[in-house]
Amino acid sequence: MEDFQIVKLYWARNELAITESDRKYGRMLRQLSYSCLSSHQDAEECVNDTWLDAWNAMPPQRPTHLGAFLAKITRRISIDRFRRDHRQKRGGLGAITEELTDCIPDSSPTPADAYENKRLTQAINRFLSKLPDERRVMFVQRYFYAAPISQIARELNLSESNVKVTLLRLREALRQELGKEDLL
Amino acid sequence: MKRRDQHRADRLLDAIGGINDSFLDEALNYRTARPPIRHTLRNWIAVAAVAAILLFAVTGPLSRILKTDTPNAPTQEQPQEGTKLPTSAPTLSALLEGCAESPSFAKSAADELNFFDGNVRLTVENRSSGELFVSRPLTAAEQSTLAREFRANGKQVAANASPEEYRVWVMLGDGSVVTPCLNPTVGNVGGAVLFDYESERVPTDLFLDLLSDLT
Repeated sequence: MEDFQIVKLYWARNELAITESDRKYGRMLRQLSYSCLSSHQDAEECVNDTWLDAWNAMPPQRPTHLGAFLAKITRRISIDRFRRDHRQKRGGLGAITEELTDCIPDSSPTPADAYENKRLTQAINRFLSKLPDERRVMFVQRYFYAAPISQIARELNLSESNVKVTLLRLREALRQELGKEDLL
Repeated sequence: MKRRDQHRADRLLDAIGGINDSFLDEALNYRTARPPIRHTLRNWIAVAAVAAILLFAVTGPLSRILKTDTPNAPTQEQPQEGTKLPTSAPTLSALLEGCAESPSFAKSAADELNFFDGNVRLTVENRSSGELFVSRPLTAAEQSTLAREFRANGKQVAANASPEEYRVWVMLGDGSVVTPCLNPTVGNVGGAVLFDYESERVPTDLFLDLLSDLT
């Protein structure tokens, strides 16, 4: 089924939307989440949370790239979960910090934070738009989809060393780019 | 990782979450036009095997003929004491490769590494296989050689140099990890981890001699 047809199902509040989304993108989303969390059970839960978020988001949203839209949700949920688990596992101060977050009236980012994050995202998008296709794909696969080096090497028909060296150079180039704009 | 760096990396991770959908879609659907590397690698292995067989087939009889023709010729050129033949000096890669066979090194799994045992040890990694070899604790003299190595000005690696097949780290026994293949600057110290690196600096003869003694 095409993306726009699945989005139509969401808008029609038809539960088939989730079945079709899972059929088309479930595997990719589980892999993304597993790469972040290294736990199949946690990945499964994150993907289920993704369907709920997507259900709540459409309407009003009408994404043109449904795969990317769902991947962003899964990635955000997985990273949040990773950070929460990581803090809890640290015990001691990590656990206390976690408990104290309950006392913060609104822990969402300040306008300044949001602005800085936006600038950062824009800078990354500008950086990516200047890259050759293959390098951009490599960067996105690694740092957005959290794909293992071996998988990227296999998909791009490159050696793992080649992928590692290219990523190292990309990180260095991004560092320079962000440095120029005084970001981070 | 320092707390501030961790915070910045977290921010970057979050910002990457906002990458344009078109880039994300492209990465999902990208198909490379490059032929699978396995085939290329297999071809190279076949070529190398044939070349090696030919080399042995030709050089074996040839060396016997040469030996027969010059019965008084020394079989191996011996350097004078205290001097080294530059052409026969072993390279870093060759020495690191020798660690696999050396009794001074033991094969180790990554999760068995002990960064806090108080001993200074070398750890060598074969990048292709991922195998790790950890040396015996270095003696005081060897540690002193290492200290001089880190103070020495190593040559910089050429910008177009291909990545080394082997990598080497020095575990200092207190959790710190360094390598003679990176410039000795503040950021190039790892904490209880064999950090990823690409060589910036060519280790000097001091380090090669130390490795040579160990292997």
